[in-house]
Amino acid sequence: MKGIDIPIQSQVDIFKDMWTGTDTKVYGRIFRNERDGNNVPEALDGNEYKEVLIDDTKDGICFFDVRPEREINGGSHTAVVDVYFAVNLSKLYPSVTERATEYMLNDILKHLQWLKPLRIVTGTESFATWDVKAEHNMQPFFLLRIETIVNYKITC
Amino acid sequence: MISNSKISSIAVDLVGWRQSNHPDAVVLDADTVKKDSGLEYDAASALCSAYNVQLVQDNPDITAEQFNDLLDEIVKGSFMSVLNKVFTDDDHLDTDLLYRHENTWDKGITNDTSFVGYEINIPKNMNVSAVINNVLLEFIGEQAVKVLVFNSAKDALVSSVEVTAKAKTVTEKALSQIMNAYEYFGGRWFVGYLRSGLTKEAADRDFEQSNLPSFCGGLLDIKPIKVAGWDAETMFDMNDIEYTSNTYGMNLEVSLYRDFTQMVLTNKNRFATSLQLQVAVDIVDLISNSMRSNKNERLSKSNALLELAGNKNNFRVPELVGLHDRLIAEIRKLRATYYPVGMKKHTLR
Repeated sequence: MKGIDIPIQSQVDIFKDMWTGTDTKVYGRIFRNERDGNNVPEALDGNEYKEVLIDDTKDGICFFDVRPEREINGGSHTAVVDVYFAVNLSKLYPSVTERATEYMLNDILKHLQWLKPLRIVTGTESFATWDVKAEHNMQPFFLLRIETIVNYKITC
Repeated sequence: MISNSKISSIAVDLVGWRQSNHPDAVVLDADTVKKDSGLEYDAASALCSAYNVQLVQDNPDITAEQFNDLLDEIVKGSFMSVLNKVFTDDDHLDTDLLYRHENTWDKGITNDTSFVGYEINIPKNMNVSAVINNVLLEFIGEQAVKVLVFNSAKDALVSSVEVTAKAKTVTEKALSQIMNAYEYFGGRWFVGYLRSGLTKEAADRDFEQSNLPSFCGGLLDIKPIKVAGWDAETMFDMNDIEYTSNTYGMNLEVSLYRDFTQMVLTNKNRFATSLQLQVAVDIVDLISNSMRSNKNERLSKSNALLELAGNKNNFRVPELVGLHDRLIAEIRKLRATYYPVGMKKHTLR
């Protein structure tokens, strides 16, 4: 593994640990592939691409989208990475009676160690790049994106 | 008329669902994958796979047992839908009251220990069914009566209904008893009541034409009977039946129908392709209206309408015969079998 995949995969492992015991899926770096004129986030699974948007058979999904432009600063690079979350709050926080969005945010920010958070965007606006519906952000479902920045080295 | 319970018993086994190899796919029961005709649903449309159904039906947490039941219910509903499309002509032959004419209340029939009522013979060719819609009781005083239905092919009671006959008033109660020749092969039907323990007398039909029966399409043979000394709610010995002219205060409203059930049961494989296509139509319709949200739902939904309707006019998309058109063609073939068109006559003007 090289470059930006190192911090991303390390963060993936932390999120998987955070969600141990739940039926969640954490994907690493996704690719923006065009399908029928639309941008679709897909993760590489072996030799096949797999679409990674909302999945109501899971308690939650998470994926990392590296923005196309990255800065080069000598031997290190800087990239903006959007970390997307689409979760079922009732499944992840069953004992919380109110809409558990802040519990979710608190857990994510506590475990975000390999990427520096810049901004939080919630609701359908957080998934504006992809095709989502209003009901994907209605209780018990919650959509969230955290804009982060990461510095990493490319070793040649 | 088609018997839903009889049809449902063969629907599930006629065409099969294929077990998906996907690790998250529900394991299908042996009955669900069974295919007496050799056909499978996803051969009609690749969208019509069991795994796809699992991901578009409305419960993300569905259990294996619930899912297998759901597939069975979809198939049963689709089969009735096919049969209702094939057998569209009016199947009603006749409805009539057994005794149409008015009666008086001045004569009663003394009670004793006996079973009284009617023997009903259905045509044995199995393509006609009768339904006792209502039983009407005429008693001099208020009397609770339990109306019993028997079939000579079965010792136990088939069904019953409790009626409280009002004094000197025709009291009607729904019975909705279907009588056919295939439920109990070769048996005769009996409807009536036990007279021991009754305190009020049934009204005698002895006024003008009050005891003149109608013939209900001419196909039914209904005779008033009495079985003396009978006091049990079980089938009596037919050797003890006495045919009588008394109606013992009981009248029946009966309907007669053409019954296609046995025709379907004995030719079930002829309906396999249409069932396969109807289920595919119903599943693709489910996909296009699914409220679920996952990869399979998204990918399937984008193709669902094209799969249903096909394409003949848009030259940018390959021509495709939709599921609807394929189903209609199959239904037409079945109708040509069961409703053949006679000789066509053409004249020149």
